[in-house]
Amino acid sequence: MNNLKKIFQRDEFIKVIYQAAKKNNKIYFLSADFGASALDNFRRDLKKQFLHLGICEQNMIDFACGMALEGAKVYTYAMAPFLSLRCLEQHKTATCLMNVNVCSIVTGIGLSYANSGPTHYSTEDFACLRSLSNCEIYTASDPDVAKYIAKKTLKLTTPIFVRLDRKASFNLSKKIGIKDLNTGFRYLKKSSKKKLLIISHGTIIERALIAEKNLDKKYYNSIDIIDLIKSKPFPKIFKNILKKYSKIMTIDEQTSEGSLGSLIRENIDHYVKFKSLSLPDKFIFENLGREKLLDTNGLSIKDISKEIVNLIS
Amino acid sequence: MRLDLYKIKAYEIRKDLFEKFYLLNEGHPGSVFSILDVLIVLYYGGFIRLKNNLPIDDLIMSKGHATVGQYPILKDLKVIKKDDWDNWGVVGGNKKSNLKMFGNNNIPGIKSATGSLGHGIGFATGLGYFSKKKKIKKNSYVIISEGELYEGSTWEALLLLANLKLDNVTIILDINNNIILGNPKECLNLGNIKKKFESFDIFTRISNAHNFKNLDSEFRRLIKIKQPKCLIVNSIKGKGFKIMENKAMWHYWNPISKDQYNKSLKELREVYE
Repeated sequence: MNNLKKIFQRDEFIKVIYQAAKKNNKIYFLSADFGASALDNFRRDLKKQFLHLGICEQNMIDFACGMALEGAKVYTYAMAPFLSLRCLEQHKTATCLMNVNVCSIVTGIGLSYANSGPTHYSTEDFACLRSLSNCEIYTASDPDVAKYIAKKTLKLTTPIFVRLDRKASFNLSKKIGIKDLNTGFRYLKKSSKKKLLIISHGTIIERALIAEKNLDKKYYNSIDIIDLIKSKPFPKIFKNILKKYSKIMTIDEQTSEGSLGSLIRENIDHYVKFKSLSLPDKFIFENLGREKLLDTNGLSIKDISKEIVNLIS
Repeated sequence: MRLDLYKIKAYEIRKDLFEKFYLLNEGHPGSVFSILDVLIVLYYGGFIRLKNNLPIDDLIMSKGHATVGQYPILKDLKVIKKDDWDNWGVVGGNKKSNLKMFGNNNIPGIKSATGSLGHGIGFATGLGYFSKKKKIKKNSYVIISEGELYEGSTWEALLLLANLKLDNVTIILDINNNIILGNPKECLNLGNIKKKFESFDIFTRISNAHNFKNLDSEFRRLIKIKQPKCLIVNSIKGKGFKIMENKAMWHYWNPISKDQYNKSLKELREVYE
């Protein structure tokens, strides 16, 4: 962790869009009653480029699509479960089918909203969104990654989904660069023996890093960890990276069907020992806070460490 | 003069479409023919203006299966290439066409891909809003079916449209009293639709969907209204062909014999003579 203050991914993302929107009056920001401190500045300074669409995610996407058909560059912003599943058919029929330039900032993925219950968890958005044709999907693991994804979105002309976490966090120790955005992934740790590749995305990757650090020293030079930032289209070069490994593990804060584990399996065409760690296929009604929910649902650091050892041994 | 043109085009375009449906042996003729006269008035009455063979004003066919009804009109107005229309469905040889049964925004003159109900007003609101922002003077017409009034997204969009006070958006609501399982009144009654629209501050009028004089004068009235507006048009599903008028099964094309084909075209001629 390389900075002193925890930062919200959404603020980093919106700051970039705000700066770009000041110079480009075709950039619009639509919110379905969802805020951020960086958005307060946008709303104050760029009133004409901000619209509150009501708590109306479905219409927000159709409206954004109409604007984009007319040449606007539109960012839509709402809580993850509602900007993904609630309006999934709008994403299909409007933005993706017509291949228009709407970027949806899906905020609060995984168990981010652990204190709001299963309706507010977003543990299947990845599976749903990645099933849509024509779109690009990015997931931020730290605030800097969110910032770089924002820069990238300014250059894209396709439908885009950006998956952000709710919590404020430190940047991970490995500094992100624009090159990582172009390739779609970054190594957070590289070993010489390359016995096991761990792939993750989002802030759950913090747990993978801690789990790996806690392992016996004999494993230290055997494990690589990759942060998969861009998951759709699947980075071509990443397919070649996968071929280098005979043992692969994925860690995702989603339920297993269609999760990161599924994505990686779909892109492997050689024999590997494979383990996908994810949330169980059930609704969670407990209100324990996010960290405890992860701990009690198969994604504790202890669980991850144990599975690493099982796979690598 | 204009009314005569509407009548001539209503016959020619209907005939073109019927022949094409017969050739393709597929499509949604009921939906197309119920709204065709409205399309004729919009395109030939100067409501959808053209420049350099492309529409200035937008038409969103929210009841997307009727998009095919735009093709022969756009062909006639030289927006779609004649070869694209002529070659569509012709098997063999080098005949190629870019037209598809399901319209999409890659086809000249077709603004959006539609089909799933309840999206069109949202699209049109976005279009209308941003074209105003760009200070482009144009209108967005959006054709919806009564079936779309069951979709919550339609009402979400009406709320926004009214709030933005977009006078460049006109909704055309096609009421042909047919949804899959029968008359909406006997399925889930939609109640007083005009009243509901007016409660959203949408200026709303009613017209017969096949009376050119009414349609023409209503669209001329609406274009002057400085608020979002709607024309409810009462239509006959499959209008123009006895074989399909008001018959739910003709939502989709049904195979017919050559005799039925010829008889239908003869009846059509008689209607417009």
